[in-house]
Amino acid sequence: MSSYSATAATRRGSVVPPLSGIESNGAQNPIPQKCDVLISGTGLVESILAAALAWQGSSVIHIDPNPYYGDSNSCFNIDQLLAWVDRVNRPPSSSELAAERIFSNARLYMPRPLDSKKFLVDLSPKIMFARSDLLSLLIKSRVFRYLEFKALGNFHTYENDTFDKVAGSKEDIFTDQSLSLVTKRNLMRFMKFVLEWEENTELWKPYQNESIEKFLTEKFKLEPQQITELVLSIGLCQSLEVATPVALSRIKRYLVSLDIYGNFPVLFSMYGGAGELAQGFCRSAAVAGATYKLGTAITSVDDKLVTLNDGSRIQVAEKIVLSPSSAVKKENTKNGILTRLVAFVAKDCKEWFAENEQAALVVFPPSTLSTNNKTSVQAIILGSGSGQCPEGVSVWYLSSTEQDPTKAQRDLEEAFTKLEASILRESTEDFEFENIDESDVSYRPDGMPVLSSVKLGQSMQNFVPREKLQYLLKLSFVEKVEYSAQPDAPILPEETPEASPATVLRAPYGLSEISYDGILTQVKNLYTKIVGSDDDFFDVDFEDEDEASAGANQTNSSAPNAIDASTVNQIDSRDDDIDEFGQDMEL
Amino acid sequence: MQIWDTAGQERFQSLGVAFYRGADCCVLMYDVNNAKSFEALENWRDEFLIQANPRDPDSFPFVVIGNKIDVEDSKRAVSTKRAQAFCASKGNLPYFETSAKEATGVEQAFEVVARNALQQEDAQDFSQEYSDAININLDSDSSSCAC
Ligand SMILES: Cc1cc2nc3c(=O)[nH]c(=O)nc-3n(C[C@H](O)[C@H](O)[C@H](O)COP(=O)(O)OP(=O)(O)OC[C@H]3O[C@@H](n4cnc5c(N)ncnc54)[C@H](O)[C@@H]3O)c2cc1C
Ligand SMILES: Nc1nc2c(ncn2[C@@H]2O[C@H](COP(=O)(O)OP(=O)(O)OP(=O)(O)O)[C@@H](O)[C@H]2O)c(=O)[nH]1
Ligand SMILES: [Mg+2]
Repeated sequence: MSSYSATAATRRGSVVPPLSGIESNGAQNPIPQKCDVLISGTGLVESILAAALAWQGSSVIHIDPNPYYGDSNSCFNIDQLLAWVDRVNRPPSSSELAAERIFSNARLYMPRPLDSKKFLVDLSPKIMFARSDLLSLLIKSRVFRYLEFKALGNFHTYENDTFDKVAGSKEDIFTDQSLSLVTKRNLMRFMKFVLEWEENTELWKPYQNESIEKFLTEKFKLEPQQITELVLSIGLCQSLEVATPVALSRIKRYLVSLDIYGNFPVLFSMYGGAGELAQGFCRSAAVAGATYKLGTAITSVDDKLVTLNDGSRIQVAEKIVLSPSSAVKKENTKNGILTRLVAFVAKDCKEWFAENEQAALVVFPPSTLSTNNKTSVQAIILGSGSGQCPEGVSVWYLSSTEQDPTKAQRDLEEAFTKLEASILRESTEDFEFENIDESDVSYRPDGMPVLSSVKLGQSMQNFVPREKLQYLLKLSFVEKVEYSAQPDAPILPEETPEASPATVLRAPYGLSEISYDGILTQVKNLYTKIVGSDDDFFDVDFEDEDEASAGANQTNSSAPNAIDASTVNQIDSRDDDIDEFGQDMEL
Repeated sequence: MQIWDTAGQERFQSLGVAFYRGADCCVLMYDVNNAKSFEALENWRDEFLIQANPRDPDSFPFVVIGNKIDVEDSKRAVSTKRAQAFCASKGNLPYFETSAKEATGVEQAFEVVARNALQQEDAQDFSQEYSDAININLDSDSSSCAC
């Protein structure tokens, strides 16, 4: 089935060259002169691909024109961010005219200088569902050990000037006193159905081309508020118009992710999202023998002979893969846009987080903003526990899939204003509710008193914040993303089981999806074009590697295990044995 | 405890910032028979401090190791004295000489690395008020090495 076999002899490289420039002969160690696959760009898609190919046995050279990892998924400190904004806004030079530009319209507001390293701005913040393909791969590939994950339990929905915490679990629904008995019963019936919706075709098939809103109203008699929460917050869909099966699978995604690691459906990685994961996969690829060189770009491609800007030439045996930002402009091809607004604000925003957590998600459903937004505005709020800002500060990542950039900007600004008003209210201690009595108060499962939202909305509209929210930094920009005819529909495997005849492959644009879902499908589509099938995608028994190293330890040491595995035992002068050991060590 | 090797990404100065993050100890290793590898130590130390950005760079635990002492004496390019002088000038860094080939000095060196790392970690945890990271590997075997 596989039309391609790696020319590399084994996945364990036979030479582990010493540090560049300091080997005994003093010569600068050049980049290898040939490889199976050359990849330019270290975004998450390219980095997972590099690791998959390296472990499959291909010899991989992975370069990036930038001096840092992550490409369009990078996470920048302030100095790097300022340079990036400059680059995005600089008009292209004549030699750059044909080059692709992923980002545009970067606008930065920073009233005073900030301590560069205390702030990290993520170009592509993402959340990871506790049950998802990429999370499984992180575990299987052991890349998870290079990362730190934290919980995000609170999903809020904005409506009538309030942020309702979503009742996402059966327990929440059961104990939520703001719901009528009939509503509870209907919700419970739906929760039971959606966990096995694929099998219950007779119920949804008639609605497969209808909106989820219609389906939930007609089949489950759900109220608009419940539909909004289920579809837009729990399902994180862009609108209620989403086709029924698409929305059902997205609602199920949340429910099956609950209670896997605790009472929360999603996680986020510290210090940045996709860019951190990308670095983990690059390390994994390096362990499997891939060569890494940052700050290096392709200057020309002549059939399969590639020239780099450091003067070296590489004979590529199989494919050249370019990230969108490493490639030339894609003419006559549709792309979508994603508009982002990022802000560091001088408030910890713990009012929005669940206990012991440092993150929350807020959804502004369509038509809830005064700009009459057509699509949701989604916001990820991270506290200092994310490693992205100092204590007492939080970072807000708002995004909109609105395709009119002017309107997207307006929607984002309006949502931002609502967030600001809310946090000022909630963090003001002497704020008193007007005309509220006991009958307006109900209690949440966790014992928190909750006001009926109608009353709350009224009194909040009357509330004028006494303090102003201090922004340390505000940034907006537009990113080119994959075009999608059907919003929120899953990315599908391409129907090209055969390897692609083209030598140069272009990696896809990013996805506007707020979770990591779809990225692995993008990677496998590329992998299949290179290898011929994805049957052996990460088909490596990493457990064996561990056992091999554990075995080596047992033979001659009494030192504690953790230290022991990295102690270089049993080295003899035969190079291949040392390399064998080196591989185990570096895992 | 996790011990990370540079995995070859250092060859073209391509270690990402994620590699350095959260380290509790840094081992600087050179070849006693190669003066250039010794002279590069200072650069690697600086690079580490810039990238890892530890709270207190002056007291961050480094350990210096001169390797390949099994090789014949005539090839020796960096004397013990010279290495010790360097370590003293950088704030009394612990110094060890090893042979990975003959397994001499390796255990002692790693014991100090481990002890200093644990000490550093304790000092850091003191100021950490947030919940710990989540272990996403549910069927992990806690006794296994996570290097
Ligand atoms: C993407 C983007 C987001 C913005 N977000 C905000 C925001 O959240 N809050 C806000 O107050 N302003 C923001 N601005 C600036 C905005 O255009 C107005 O300048 C600002 O609102 C005037 O603020 P003020 O009257 O509240 O404060 P003032 O106290 O009148 O002004 C604040 C100070 O900031 C300076 N300043 C104004 N605009 C900029 C700028 N673009 N870059 C650097 N310094 C500037 C002013 O000269 C003044 O010294 C943003 C600009 C951009 C491009
Ligand atoms: N004689 C002798 N040779 C050694 C010793 N330790 C390592 N070597 C040799 O030195 C070479 C480089 O060793 P590595 O362990 O790959 O060095 P490294 O610094 O990890 O290199 P990278 O993996 O590229 O970062 C190999 O050929 C080893 O056999 C030692 O103690 N004595
Ligand atoms: Mg090594």
